[in-house]
Amino acid sequence: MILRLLSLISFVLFVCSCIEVNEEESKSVAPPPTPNVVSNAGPLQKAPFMDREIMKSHLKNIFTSVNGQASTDANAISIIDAEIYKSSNYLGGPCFQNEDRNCAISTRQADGLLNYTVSSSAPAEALKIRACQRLVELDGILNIATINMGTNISQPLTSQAVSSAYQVFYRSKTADIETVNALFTFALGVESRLNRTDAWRFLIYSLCVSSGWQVL
Amino acid sequence: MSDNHRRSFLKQAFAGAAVSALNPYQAFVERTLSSLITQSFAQSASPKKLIYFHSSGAPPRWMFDQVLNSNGEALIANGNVANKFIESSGRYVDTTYATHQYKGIHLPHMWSYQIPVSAKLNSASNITQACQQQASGSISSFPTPSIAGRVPLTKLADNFLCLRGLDTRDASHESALAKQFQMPGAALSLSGVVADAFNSPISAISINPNQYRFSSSAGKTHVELNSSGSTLNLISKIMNPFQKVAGASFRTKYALVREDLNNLLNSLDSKSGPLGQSIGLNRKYAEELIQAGLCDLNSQWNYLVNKYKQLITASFQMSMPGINDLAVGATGARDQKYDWVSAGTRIDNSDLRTLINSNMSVGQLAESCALAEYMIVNNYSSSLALNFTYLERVNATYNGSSQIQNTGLDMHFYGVMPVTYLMTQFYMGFSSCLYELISVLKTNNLFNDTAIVYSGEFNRSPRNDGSGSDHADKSHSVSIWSGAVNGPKVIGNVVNQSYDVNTRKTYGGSWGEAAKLNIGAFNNEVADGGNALSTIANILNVPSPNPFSPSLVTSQNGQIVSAIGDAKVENIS
Repeated sequence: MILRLLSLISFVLFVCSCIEVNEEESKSVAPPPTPNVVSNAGPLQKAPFMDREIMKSHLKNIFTSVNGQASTDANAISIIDAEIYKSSNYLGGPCFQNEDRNCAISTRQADGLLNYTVSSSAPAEALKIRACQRLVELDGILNIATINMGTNISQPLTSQAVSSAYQVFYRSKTADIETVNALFTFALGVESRLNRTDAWRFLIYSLCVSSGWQVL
Repeated sequence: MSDNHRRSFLKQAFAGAAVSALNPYQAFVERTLSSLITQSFAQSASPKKLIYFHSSGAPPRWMFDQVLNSNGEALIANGNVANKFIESSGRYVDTTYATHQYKGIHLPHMWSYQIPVSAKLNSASNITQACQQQASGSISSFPTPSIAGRVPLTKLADNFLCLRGLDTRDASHESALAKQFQMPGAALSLSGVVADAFNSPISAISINPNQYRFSSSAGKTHVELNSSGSTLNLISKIMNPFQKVAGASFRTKYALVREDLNNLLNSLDSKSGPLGQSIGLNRKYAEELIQAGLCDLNSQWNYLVNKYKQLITASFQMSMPGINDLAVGATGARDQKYDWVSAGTRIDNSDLRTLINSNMSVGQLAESCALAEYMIVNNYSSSLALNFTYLERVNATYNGSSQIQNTGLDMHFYGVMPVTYLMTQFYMGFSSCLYELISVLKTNNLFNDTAIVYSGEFNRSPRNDGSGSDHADKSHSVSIWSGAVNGPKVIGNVVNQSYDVNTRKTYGGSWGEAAKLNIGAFNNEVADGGNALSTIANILNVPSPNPFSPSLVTSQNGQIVSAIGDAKVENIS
């Protein structure tokens, strides 16, 4: 009986040691936390998606015009043109002859029909990030965006202002309360760490680079 | 990759020294990859990345990778199927077909030659690492490429699989080429299924796309670039969106809020449906790449292109007995074997070796290899289709004048004498670049996770009188280089006398026409492009884009073996 008990104990110890070894091994190979991303998310090719033409219009409405009147801010226009409109190779839309010989996204199929649609890609997102960073880092352009949201960069952040900001980017869609809270909490955190202007800056930046507004 | 190998790989990947050698983006990719690898432990094998080289125009390949008689079978001669010259009075004036035996396999004569190799980098395993070392001051100057010696070409045969005896069932350049990527009616393309198997920031790339097809089940996208005839910096063109543009003030503040911002964006992504999440994934890749920063793309590109161009130039200067060790070409009247450009126009270079000059190259080959090396080594892409399609700056004398011209590969009216000389040089250049690319992949422990494919849209049907060649849809072949291939290996059956009721009189002799298979589902049918795609997919460990066509290979103890028996040359009555 004692022998059996000892065998059982030694077996348990052996199993534990194996588990420890395996845990040790898995610790050594366990990856650091990875982003909560979804790959191979399903058939997405037919999803309507903003191309460079629509992106340009949308961003110009936000960053270069006030109450429907075009701004004379040459910086914002040139940024949007440089990063978005001239990037037909990644942001789709028709490629006109002599405009850019490298229309990298397949805009022309073998049967000669133009394919105006575009899907997401890392370079396309990088161009969006570049455009958004260059736009919001300039206080003048940032202020135009906040005016279009019914406020300005010196005004305090409120959940209503956050909700308005969301609607400007998401074309009148209303954010749910959870989204507003997340955006508002983030902005307040930035304000406490930096200042109010930077809170607006990174709130607008977060909306600008977020994924949903490009989905038509 | 076995579990043990995976663990070993991961241990290496996460060992302190290894991690410190990675830039933040590479570390991000390693994390993502390792997560995928961990998830796929139960699977039998991990997918391989794809580098697909194409020579559209369908050049003759019997001097290089279209192996006609792997077991030394006697062939029925064809006046155009040649890979070596025959001497008379101190000059090469005729051609023959000869083989070089390596590991029991009879390869075309060219495999007896040596190819030049590049010097390895002193302190880094790839040029991006060297660039980072130079940027950080740990090495004083940016490396410059140089030739370090030579190796037998048969080194390249150690991982070489020739898949022959394929019928493209299509003699049109355009549609046969499209079938190399995606069969008509198939939902997915080969590049698409590879892209779907990886999370790469740039899922797939096509350079000089000619009938390229890309179709992914996950809505992934590809990048196409036309660079033919240009000196475009391809890595810069593709990677420039990832260059930093924001000012220092923004970047400092951004660093402070980055973690909170990413958590917020994850939260927003989760509310945007599958497409929003797909965009979010791409944004994460983009953000990581921008944050990591890109080492000088011009210096890296110049190094890589110059390295491969040096190899091409050096390969033309190698000693090739039977090809370039004597003057080539008859001194008297020249017949159709010297046709050039059009029927009846003869090449007049008194010595055909002068067709090649110091400026000659293989159009877009160096650029293609440079891009492939950069993208695969840095884990930026999982699928590349690269098209090199002409001999650049050939020095040809005909019709009474000397011209420097680019020579395409659809060689209908190019006689056997100039073609044997030029195409041997063409493949010497390609072999040298391919060996270098494989060497770099091996140095970076990536070769076993990559497969390199070479093909045209079909092969050539040779005119027996030596005057040129036409489209051989019935004798297609595909070559694959992979760590999973214990080469040289030849798979596929061909007939010894190419037979066609319409063309037999013109194209007699052995030139690799597909034989009917009486095994499994083939039921007296020839293997075709769908089988080729399934075979490549099988080697890549990805689902076939053409699942109703069986693969011609299977895996045995991690090695590729034939699924249709030993390669045969069949005599037909």
